[in-house]
Amino acid sequence: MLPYQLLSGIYMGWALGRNDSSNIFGPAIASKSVKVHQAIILCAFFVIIGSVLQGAAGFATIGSLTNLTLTTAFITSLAAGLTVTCMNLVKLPASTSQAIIGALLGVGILKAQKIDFLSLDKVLICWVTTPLMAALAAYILYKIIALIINALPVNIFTQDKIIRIGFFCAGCYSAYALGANNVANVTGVYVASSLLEPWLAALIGGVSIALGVFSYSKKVMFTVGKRLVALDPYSAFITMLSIGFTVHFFAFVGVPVSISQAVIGAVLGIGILKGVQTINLKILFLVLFGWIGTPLIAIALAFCLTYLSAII
Amino acid sequence: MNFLWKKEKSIIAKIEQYLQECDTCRDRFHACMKKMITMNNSSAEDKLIKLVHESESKADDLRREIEYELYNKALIPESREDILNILETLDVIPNTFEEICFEMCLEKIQISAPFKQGFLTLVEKNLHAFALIREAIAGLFYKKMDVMDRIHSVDQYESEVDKIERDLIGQVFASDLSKADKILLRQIIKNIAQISDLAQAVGDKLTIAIVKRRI
Repeated sequence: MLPYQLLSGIYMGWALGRNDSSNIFGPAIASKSVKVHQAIILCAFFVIIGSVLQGAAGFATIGSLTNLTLTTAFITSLAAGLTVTCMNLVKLPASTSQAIIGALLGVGILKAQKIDFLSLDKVLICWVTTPLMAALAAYILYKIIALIINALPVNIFTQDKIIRIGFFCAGCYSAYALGANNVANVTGVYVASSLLEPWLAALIGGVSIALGVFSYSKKVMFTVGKRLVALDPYSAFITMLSIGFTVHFFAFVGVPVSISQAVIGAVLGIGILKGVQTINLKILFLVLFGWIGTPLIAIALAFCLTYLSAII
Repeated sequence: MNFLWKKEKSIIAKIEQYLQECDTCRDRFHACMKKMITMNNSSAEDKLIKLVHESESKADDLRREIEYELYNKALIPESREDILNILETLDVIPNTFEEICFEMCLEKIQISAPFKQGFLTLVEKNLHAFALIREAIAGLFYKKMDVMDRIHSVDQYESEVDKIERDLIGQVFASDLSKADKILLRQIIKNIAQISDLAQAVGDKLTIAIVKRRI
């Protein structure tokens, strides 16, 4: 029997899956390359595979930030999950990675725990480099794949087929990368508090993200997908692939990063390449808000929940 | 993997069929115009006119089937839009073939001896422009040749046709024909010359599709 404290982690995983899955298969759905139910099943499947096969690396980073007990792990997950939900309600882009780190800091500070600033520095550097790396990946991938496609004697139908297969593969790959990178946000605190073995934490985390993917609305997937497809199908495919590469890279590094910020970076890279301004002040504000605002909200919520738990 | 691309294969086959039907319509129109210009035979019962009408209707039916299948979620929206634009613009040409035949027939248009050669040249040049654009479309759809070369040749033909059209109208109005006959002939000349204009319009759509796909 699993303890009730795990419920906040499952809730966090659900919030993560619901929040991030639109970025993964949205363009494929909007371009009609993949049907919604196929996308949901594929996304959920590859998220679980990614979590189980490669998710363990992030657990160490989450666990190294501060000391956690089962209760503080529960509070941390709940605060991070609520942060994501609140931000979704007020239609602000939420990053689960930034929410969980904020919540961890909140709990750590309030409980006068030692904060490992070396690990925190590593996390902060990864956050800042995520959009930059996605932009670079988009730039390079765009050039390389264009060289290959242009060298092939392809007609309009073959090119269409390449793009659709590309959407499909990039979607599966990004879902795998999301699982590998972000599962630590979901159950990392339970590994740190010695409640779960890494393999079980990866499995439970992956399944709870998949639950979030299943509860995702078709309408939002279309909206997010169309925003990316508006670039042009090839650029949208490159954007998806760059997200996958970037998030997967940070899965190897072992630092959970924001998939939404990887999207912004990839779109920026495409914009630079095409000489089009794809990023405006509002988007820059949202990135900065993700880096600063999200952790602050999570810290505040973690404070409140810790106080409440002390009273109860 | 083949089952995954069933819809595409069906569309590709239908487009090929449609283009072949356009070719048939062009050949029948050519034969019909030759007969009407050289023999002044513009009977409504003429078998050739019926044949032109038949192939035009068949091409129309095929185009509708292609549109239906394209809207039925085959291909990404951008490819779908480009293919539909190209086919819809191209489809005006067989319609024009049919209209010219009926016009010649219903208005009992007789081409006087001095203009016969001019009319034949005008028809042939226009049909050549159509043949080139037909090749260019096949190039885009099946990558059989350089599309931009063909589009460029269509533009050249269109300029030539414009000159022939102006010369022919000038000759008609300089002749002793009645005002009414002159006006009828001018209208026919303009309608025939429209074929190369339409071919050029298809060329423009093709160019857009190609440029959009340049990575």
